[in-house]
Amino acid sequence: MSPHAMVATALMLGALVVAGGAYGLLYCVARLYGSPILGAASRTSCGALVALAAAIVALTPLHFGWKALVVASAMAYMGIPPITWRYLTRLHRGGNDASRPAEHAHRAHTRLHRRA
Amino acid sequence: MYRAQRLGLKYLTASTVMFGAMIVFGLLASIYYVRPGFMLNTFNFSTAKIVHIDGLVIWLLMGFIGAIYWFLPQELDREVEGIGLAEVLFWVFCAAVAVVVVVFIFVQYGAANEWSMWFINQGRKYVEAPRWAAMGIAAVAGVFAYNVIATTVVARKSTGILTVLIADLVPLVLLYFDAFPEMTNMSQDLFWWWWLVHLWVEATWEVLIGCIMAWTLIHLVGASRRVVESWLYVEVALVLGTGILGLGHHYFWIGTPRYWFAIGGFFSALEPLPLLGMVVHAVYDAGERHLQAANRPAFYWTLAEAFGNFIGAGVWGFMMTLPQINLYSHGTQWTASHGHLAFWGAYGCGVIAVLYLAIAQARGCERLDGTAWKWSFALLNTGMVGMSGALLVAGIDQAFFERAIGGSTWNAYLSMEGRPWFNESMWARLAFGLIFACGFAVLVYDLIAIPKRREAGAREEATAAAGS
Amino acid sequence: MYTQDPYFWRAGAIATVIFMCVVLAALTIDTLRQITPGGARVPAYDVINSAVTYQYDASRGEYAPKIGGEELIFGHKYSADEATALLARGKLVIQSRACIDCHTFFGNGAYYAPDLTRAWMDPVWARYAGPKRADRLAKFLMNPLRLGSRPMPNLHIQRDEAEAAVAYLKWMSAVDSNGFPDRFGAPGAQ
Repeated sequence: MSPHAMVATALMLGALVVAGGAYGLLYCVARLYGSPILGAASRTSCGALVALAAAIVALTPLHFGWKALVVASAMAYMGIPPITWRYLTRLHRGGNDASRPAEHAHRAHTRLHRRA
Repeated sequence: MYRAQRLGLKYLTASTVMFGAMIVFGLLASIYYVRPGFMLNTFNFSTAKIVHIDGLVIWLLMGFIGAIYWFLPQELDREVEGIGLAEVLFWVFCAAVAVVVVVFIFVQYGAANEWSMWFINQGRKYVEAPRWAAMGIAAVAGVFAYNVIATTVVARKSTGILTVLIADLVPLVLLYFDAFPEMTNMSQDLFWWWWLVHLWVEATWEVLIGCIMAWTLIHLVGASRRVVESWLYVEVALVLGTGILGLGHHYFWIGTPRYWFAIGGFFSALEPLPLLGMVVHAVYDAGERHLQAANRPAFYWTLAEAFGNFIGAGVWGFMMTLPQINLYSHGTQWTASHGHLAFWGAYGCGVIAVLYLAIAQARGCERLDGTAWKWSFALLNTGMVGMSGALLVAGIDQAFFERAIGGSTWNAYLSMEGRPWFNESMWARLAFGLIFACGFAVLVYDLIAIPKRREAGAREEATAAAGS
Repeated sequence: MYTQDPYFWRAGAIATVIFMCVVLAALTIDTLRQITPGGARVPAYDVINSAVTYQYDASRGEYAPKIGGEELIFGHKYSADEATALLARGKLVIQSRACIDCHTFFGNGAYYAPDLTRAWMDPVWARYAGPKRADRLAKFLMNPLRLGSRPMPNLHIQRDEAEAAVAYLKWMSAVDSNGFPDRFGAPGAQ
């Protein structure tokens, strides 16, 4: 691999994960606020993720196996936010989630000072 | 307050002191890069670096231990077993660390004999502490593990978080035994050394901080135990599922077989995926609570933990983990860039979250907010991102010119010293290090000021009650 | 649904960890066997009696160490036991002076000073033949010259320690590190 290809490949790999993280963040925030702008931003990040994966496949001198790994990683970055969101939503919905933040913190505080 | 919680606060205090020492020696180490020959033969770069990186390990370990002593009695509604011994060993631990640091600073090195290994410097990265101190640390770790396990056994009950923690503590303590041996064969030495370093920071420590963050979420925002425990199991599966064989990404160049390229490259490429899951969970939790929490600094540092971990460990790691890149990035400032941001995101932010939570609870501060914590948060994170960015520029410059073009020879290395991007990056790193140090000073001020805030809040309430 | 059951994930975590640990254990046993001195990857310690160079291997597509004919250091042909004892001492020198906290070994360590993996055959020293090169390196360790703007400190390394450290560097340069560092000493490289 030439020095230029090495740096370009490394930066594209890093950018791929940044795009994956941006997609994850924006997907979640869009779901929270129901904002069409945030939804569009999350889809743009997803597009960037796909574009970067395609660029790595097309432009870098990595061997086939490593390119396949990068593509599989990109697919995982695309799948993790919606799957995790769905899982968390069902997890929080199922069972008794009665404790409210202030209530639980107050109970812990009271227990602490009873012991002191 | 349980005795264990008082001990936990002591550990958290000691952790903060070590954090400060780490910063001082980090700033010192960075001066050598911009002023070569600085204190030559009086106090060399290697000594400053040793105190810096060993201080890193100690402040984080003390933070973890303090956090667990804080949460454990609340988890089981009873005092911790063997707490008397643990209290004694805390002072032994602090004294040992102090003696080791004094010897590092004033003696620095010895002759090539066993005496040096036992009493001065073992000269293996992160575990330079002489053997007598390593034995002491092992004893402290052993008693700590006993405290946790024995309390659970005597209580005749456990929880999901505690079970995961205990299962994690056993390998964590056993791995420390690599701090002792001295092997002639460098390949073999580094092979086992990476078991300690990687299976700590990319495996057992990740599970440990996961348990601590689970407890933090329960106490901070009243998260459901069922939810955090389910999530903890998912994270353990994914983090250890990728991290155990991800160890192979340290086995590309140390003389080990070539199959580690495929194994290490594959699994370490997957390591960022659970970190993305953590980001999703953090945003979910934050959104569910509309970014509100009674203890705002603890809440925001917990969020920073998720994001910092993903960026420092995930993004930076993925950039350099494939062998084709790593051949050139390995052993350059690129590695240092990744190391700083990853340790900060994965562990530093988490320990600071616990600091705020524990101290506020101990002082009876049910609500915590203010201005100082925001300044500290901004300065520390800006400083760290700036340092890592500067090191990234220097590292890419080094990988490109010194390694890829220059062939990593002595002359290639020396000529890199004169390169403008490298030099300017070293100055930038120092500048951002100073910003980070300012953030630490504000953090300490804010933590000390927490009791005063409770009193001020109580006075306000009393005034309001008198007026109504 | 079973994915909502925490015990499903707990079982998954346990199974995953056990499987990965078993694989790691198996690979560890094989790796330790392959990196035992005297094998194809890590030479026996008495390689210090031979010439060691670093050349491009077209069949592998990377640089690799090459062991040549006899090339003694310090005027002595070391037996296997003598070489083992000498290199054990050399490693002790490296640890006692914490060399890894300025330099790197196989790229591991601190980044303040050059990588020492192939220091034995660095072009700075390569102009000297074996015995003379060892002597020049030992003298440098005992009294480091100021090369470049980042000087090496004087760590009070005695003659016998210096010889042991130099022997260690020569042995280490013969380890097959899968082409790291790339292009070391290649024409066109510095």
